[in-house]
Amino acid sequence: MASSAVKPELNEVPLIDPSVDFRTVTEMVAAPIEAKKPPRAWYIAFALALLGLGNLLVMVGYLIWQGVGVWGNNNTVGWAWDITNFVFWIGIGHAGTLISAILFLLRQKWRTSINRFAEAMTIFAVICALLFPTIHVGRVWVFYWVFPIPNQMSMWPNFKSPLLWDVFAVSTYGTVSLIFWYVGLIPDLATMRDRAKTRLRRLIYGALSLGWRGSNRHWQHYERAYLIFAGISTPLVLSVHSVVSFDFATSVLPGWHTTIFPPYFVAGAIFSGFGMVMTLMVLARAVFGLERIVQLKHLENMNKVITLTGTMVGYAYGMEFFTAWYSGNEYERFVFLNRAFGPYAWAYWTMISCNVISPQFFWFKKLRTNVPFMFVVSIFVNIGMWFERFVIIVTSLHRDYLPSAWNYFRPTFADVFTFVGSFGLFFTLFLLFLRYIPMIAMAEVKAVLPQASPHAGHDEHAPASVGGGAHGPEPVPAE
Amino acid sequence: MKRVLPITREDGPPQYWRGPEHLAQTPAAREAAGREFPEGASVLGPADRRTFLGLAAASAAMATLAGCIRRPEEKIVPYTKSPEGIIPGVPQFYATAYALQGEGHPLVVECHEGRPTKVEGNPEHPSARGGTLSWLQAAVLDLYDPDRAQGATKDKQPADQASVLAELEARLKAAEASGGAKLRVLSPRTASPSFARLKAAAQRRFPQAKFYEYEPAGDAEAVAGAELAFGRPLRPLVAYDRARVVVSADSDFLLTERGAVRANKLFAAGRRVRAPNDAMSRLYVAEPALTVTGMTADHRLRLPAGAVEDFLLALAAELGANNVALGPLAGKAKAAADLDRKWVAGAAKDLARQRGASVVVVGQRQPAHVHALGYAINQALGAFGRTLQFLPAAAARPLDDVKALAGEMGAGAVDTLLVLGGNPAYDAPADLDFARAMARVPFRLHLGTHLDETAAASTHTLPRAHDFEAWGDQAAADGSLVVQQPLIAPLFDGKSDLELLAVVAGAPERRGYDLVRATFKESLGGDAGATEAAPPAAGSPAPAGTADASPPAGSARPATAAAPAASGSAVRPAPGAPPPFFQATPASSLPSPGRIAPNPSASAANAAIGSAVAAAPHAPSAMPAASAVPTGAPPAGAAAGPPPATPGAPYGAVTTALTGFERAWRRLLHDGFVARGAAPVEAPLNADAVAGAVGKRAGQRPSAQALEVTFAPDATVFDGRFANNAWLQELPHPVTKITWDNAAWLSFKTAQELGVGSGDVVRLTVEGRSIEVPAWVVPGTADYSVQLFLGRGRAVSGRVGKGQGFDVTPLRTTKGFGFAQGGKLEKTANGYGLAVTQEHNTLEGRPIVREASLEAYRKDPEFAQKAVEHKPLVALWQEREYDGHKWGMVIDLTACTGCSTCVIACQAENNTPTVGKEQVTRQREMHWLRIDRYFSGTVEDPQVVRQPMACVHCENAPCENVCPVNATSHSPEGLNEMTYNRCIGTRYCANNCPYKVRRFNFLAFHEEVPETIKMVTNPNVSVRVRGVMEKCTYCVQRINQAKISAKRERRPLRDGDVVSACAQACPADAIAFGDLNDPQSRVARAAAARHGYRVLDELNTKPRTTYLSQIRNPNPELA
Repeated sequence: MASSAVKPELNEVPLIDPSVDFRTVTEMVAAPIEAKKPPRAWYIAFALALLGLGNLLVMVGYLIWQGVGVWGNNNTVGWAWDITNFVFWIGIGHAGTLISAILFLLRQKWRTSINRFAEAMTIFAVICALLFPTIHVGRVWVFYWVFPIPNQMSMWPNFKSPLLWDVFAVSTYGTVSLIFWYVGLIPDLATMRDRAKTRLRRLIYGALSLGWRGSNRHWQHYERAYLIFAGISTPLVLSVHSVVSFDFATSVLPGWHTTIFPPYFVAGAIFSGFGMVMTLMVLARAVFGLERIVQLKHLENMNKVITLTGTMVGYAYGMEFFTAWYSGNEYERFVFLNRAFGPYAWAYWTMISCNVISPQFFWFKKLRTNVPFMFVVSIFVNIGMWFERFVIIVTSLHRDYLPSAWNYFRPTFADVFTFVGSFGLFFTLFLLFLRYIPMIAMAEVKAVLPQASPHAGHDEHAPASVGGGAHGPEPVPAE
Repeated sequence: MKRVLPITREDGPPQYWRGPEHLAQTPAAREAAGREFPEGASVLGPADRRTFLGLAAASAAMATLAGCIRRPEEKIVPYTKSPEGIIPGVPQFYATAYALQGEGHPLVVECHEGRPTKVEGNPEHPSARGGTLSWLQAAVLDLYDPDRAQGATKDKQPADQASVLAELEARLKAAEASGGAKLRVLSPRTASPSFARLKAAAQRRFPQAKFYEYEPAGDAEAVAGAELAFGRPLRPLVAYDRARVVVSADSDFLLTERGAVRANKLFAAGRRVRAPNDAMSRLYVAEPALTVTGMTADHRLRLPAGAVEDFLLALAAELGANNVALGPLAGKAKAAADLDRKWVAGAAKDLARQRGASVVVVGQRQPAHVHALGYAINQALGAFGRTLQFLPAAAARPLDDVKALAGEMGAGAVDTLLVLGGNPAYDAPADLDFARAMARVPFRLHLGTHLDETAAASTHTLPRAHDFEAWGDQAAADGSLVVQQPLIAPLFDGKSDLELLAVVAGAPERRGYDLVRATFKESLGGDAGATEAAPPAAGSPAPAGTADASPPAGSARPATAAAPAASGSAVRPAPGAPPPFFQATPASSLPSPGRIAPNPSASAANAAIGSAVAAAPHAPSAMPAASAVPTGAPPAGAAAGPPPATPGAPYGAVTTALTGFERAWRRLLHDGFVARGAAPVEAPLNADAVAGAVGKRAGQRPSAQALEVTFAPDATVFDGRFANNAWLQELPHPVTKITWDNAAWLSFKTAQELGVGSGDVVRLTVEGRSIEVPAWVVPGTADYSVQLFLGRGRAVSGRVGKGQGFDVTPLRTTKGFGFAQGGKLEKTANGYGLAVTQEHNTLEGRPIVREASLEAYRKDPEFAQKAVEHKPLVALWQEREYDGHKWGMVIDLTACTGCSTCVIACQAENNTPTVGKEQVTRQREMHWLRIDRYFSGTVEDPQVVRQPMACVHCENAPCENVCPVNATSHSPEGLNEMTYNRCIGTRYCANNCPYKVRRFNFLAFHEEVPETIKMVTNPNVSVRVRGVMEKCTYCVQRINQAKISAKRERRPLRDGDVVSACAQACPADAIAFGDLNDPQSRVARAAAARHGYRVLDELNTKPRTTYLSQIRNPNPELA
């Protein structure tokens, strides 16, 4: 994680504000955790999140007590908001690991300011995502039958089913993401342990930091492990949403049965994940005063990724139409025309406006560096990506082969409140994370500070810069 | 049932008792029997707070314990002494009957350990041939209706039945003095010989009393029309199989009219196309709103009901132009300017061309003189004796009775009124204000199945036994006598009409069994044995007393005819007698063969099918013996096999020992019918009288300001008697697919002019009386004609029917009973949500239903296969070989009328729940079999196709590979099976089903079912819990039952051993089921028909259900 010199002739900007040094990083990141009281905004947010969580618990209880009939799903539209929410959350869960793993392998140093944040978001989003397939089944109490558990009844899952692949893909992704996140946390947890003023904190952070002493050997193993996990995570980022897309792509349903789905879903997932990171980052940055670490440049870079993936998604939308027309299959053609001009046209055009049109504003530098504007766009991206999943799932189902079975899906209050409640779960976990775990990877940020460079103080070119080359030698311990 | 059945008297039904105390009838025993938990178990008493808390703590502790341990073991104790003939788990089948519109429907009812669970048509009956209708299928649910009248009431308070009866007897005794001058009895129209006998006896006892009849929907006008035309009451009997051209003038003969089962069988036979040379009849329908018959028509004319007379006169005029001798009618015949002349001329030309093989039928709601006109036209067409015959009938005085009764009651001339069944307070013409008139009668007793509107208007009520609980007899559509045997002791202590009438008559016998037996004995006399012993030789005139289709010589009664003990006689399981699916011409109902020329094209066609079929002579006239398929045996031409086995062989010996009456009686109980009764009569038509009666009034034409309002029995709840039947309430209407409600149908033009849309509540006013009802725009409705349906909006009904839908009877008056004129319609501000099961009504050009005209089919018999082009298909998974059985189904779209009988049959067989209106609105109906209905053509004159759709059992089933837990899988015989216990309910299978036939238990639909309704469940089919997927199983339980039987009898499974519930119930034999690997099976041969296709075959799903394309037979001149 060597830093490289900022080349003023290339208009490069330092990665971290030059006023920040090792100490200020630690102080700034540890402040929200060590503060006696978190900011007022945190309390308000946490109260709201707990309200949402309580609402979720009530809704899930109601669902399990009454049956899936409390939702609006029907005989024709067997999946609706339940699976839409599942894919939505899984998609959001993409950004964290992508930023941690792929950007790490690609030596994108600007990631260090946001990766912890994004990874936490990933874990929580995957938890929310796992909720939906679990509760959407008719008999929750036997959900464990999807796992290949040897049993005396000789029951065995059906490995032909994409739903089973889902079980493995998502659980693997969730596990690896969690471990990866945790490994990255160890040096920072040790910092928290060392700074802890109470016995309880010392004990908890001490246990969690696994005896980290920051020795050279520790750093060597740590770096190696981090690299390996990055290597393992990278294909998972691509595979998990590909497998989720197989839920649809391997069916016989027009609108689902499409070969474009895996890349299209992955692009959409990154898009939505970045959208969600942006939403959260902008808020946390303001609330906790992290502007010097999470700089505008980081946000701008994320906006570029949003524009790229949004455009890819837009391309996929267009390509779907072309393929449907080119296939000559009347059912395929109908589904796409029906999407755009049928009873759910409102959902389709919401999706297009949010996903394809809104990120295009980021072509303008003024807009992509405007924080309130990017916040609004990130909200649009979140909305649009939810609608994308809704459009794919519901518009394909509601009018498939036999016109006699066609109908219109309407959500019930339980659909709405379960979805809202899942945000309650997400934010509860996220706010707890903000309060108790270093939200910025201190060790990694320190590694990109100028002081971390072996040439620090010897080079006429000062601090590390965004987009700097990766020619430096291997990392240097941060503390 | 643990104890042995006691005291089986030879001549009576067994009296079941619970214990000696019950038998002794002590008051203590009666009290104890009424309480499920004796000894104060359910009584907490006035508890103080401490006791209450103590009990609460104890229950909590117990509940915790109970949660920790397994449920206590329960032991099922078998019979210590088994009742004779009952093998637990093996159903028994009893022949019985159910009366509707005065027609006895011959049935065979399946019973499980004494519980009737499933209704089948009697396959041996010559005219019904195992066919049923949805009402008959659902009748068994009515039996267990918890809202049935339970016990007698007096002045709305529960009363002792014996005391009510005693009061009645005392009144009758007192009335004897005056000859019953103030006694009136009102009953529905019935064709029961016992009823007639008792009525005569009662009339003798009370010469001044009057016995009235009233039926809200029936064939009274047709009989009255015959009286006008022939001078005596007669009932028409149409041989639809022999008619090459049928013109229906407002007649829904395929569903809501009397004789519909028989009509379906014969009509389908006349249209069954298997090979290009097969003949097919042509149906013209002129009607105000789409009916099942109208949907089947080759040509349909929208015609207000009030214009039917003019239509028939115009038709007569055109017939005259085609050299049909009209006689005195010629003077009246005249064209009507506003009728589609081309259409009428085309129909007339067709009728005239097929003289002697054509028929005109007139709808039941048309007035008598229009029926008479129809008869006269038929006579001119030479239909009498060929396509149309007449059976003697009791005189009908449509509405005169009920008018007279209301008048007498209002005038205070009645002091004792007995209403035996029926619900006149709800369904009598509104202008009579029947309930109010009734209130002036001091003693008014209603014998009713439910505490309904009439019960509310009565001083006394008695519970009426369901037809499956009481003895009775009925005349079937073809005049044969069917016996109604009870299958279960009256659940709610009901009495039958006969039993109450016997009280009135003061008859010596009081029990239904004795009454029916006495009638049979009286009418049969000593010649019964002779009739049985010597059936008439084929071709000889039918002997007196023997109606049509008596067993022909040479075809002995089937081996199954072994009458068991008298108290209830088991016949062979009904599936033994398959419907004649592959028969081009099944037995006609006409008794005198030889008068009708054979249809050469039909026999040629049959010859072309293949040797197996050709071996069976089909031309009815040439070989009458063969055309009357031996009942109970496989139809001629089916795979040869040993004759059906003889269950109950021990009884055979007993039977042979009996002679004379006893033998005939037991035969009757066993077979369920005797093909005797009224024989067709020939009567000269008084053409002058007809000519004098018709054309008196200028036909009125409705307009936007003076709408026509027509009334029809609902295709689901009929006239309201089934309003509390959830199966029928939830049955989608065949045309609109509306459930749980009725609506006022309007044409597009009418709706547009009046500014009304579907779902708007409108106020409809006729002669100052008005109702509010939601409007529904229905294609094919005549302009300015509003179709209303009877039977809903019941003010007093059970928990299912109460307030469901809209009551239209306030508009129905004596003047406008079938249809009324001068209606006004205005839109109200309200809307009303209707639960419709099919929201999209067109095919969007998709080749889901394939159809062709007969001509096009003959040119290219393989047109259906060419509808879709696709590349060679490759399966993703390895495909199986099926070398054992290979179950499959064939559905003939030409034969299917959309009557929906199969839907109810499936529901009854497979314990499919009803879900209620709200859940239907959410599209969660659970019917495994649905009937898709699509319109094509113009919105005003649409063509309709119907497609029964259930799981097609794909060999490459898309549902199977997506299930994560293997809950749906393939059997070695090719069934796509659902393992409910394994299902976790992901619903992925339903999403991936291209046919959308899978049904998910979104809620616990079986949970809140009343206890009595649970008795209707089929024990061989799992009741599904909440959260699992379900769908058609091809009646796998029937397959396994048949396989077990065959294995036990050490014989291979024969074609016809396995019949799915839908196939068995279908009155048109549109569904065939069987083994596709047996090349001789009906299903295999039908599946091989060249116009067969499989829906969405291009997806390589390889469905096992084959559809035979809809073939239409339009008149080329009208194209």
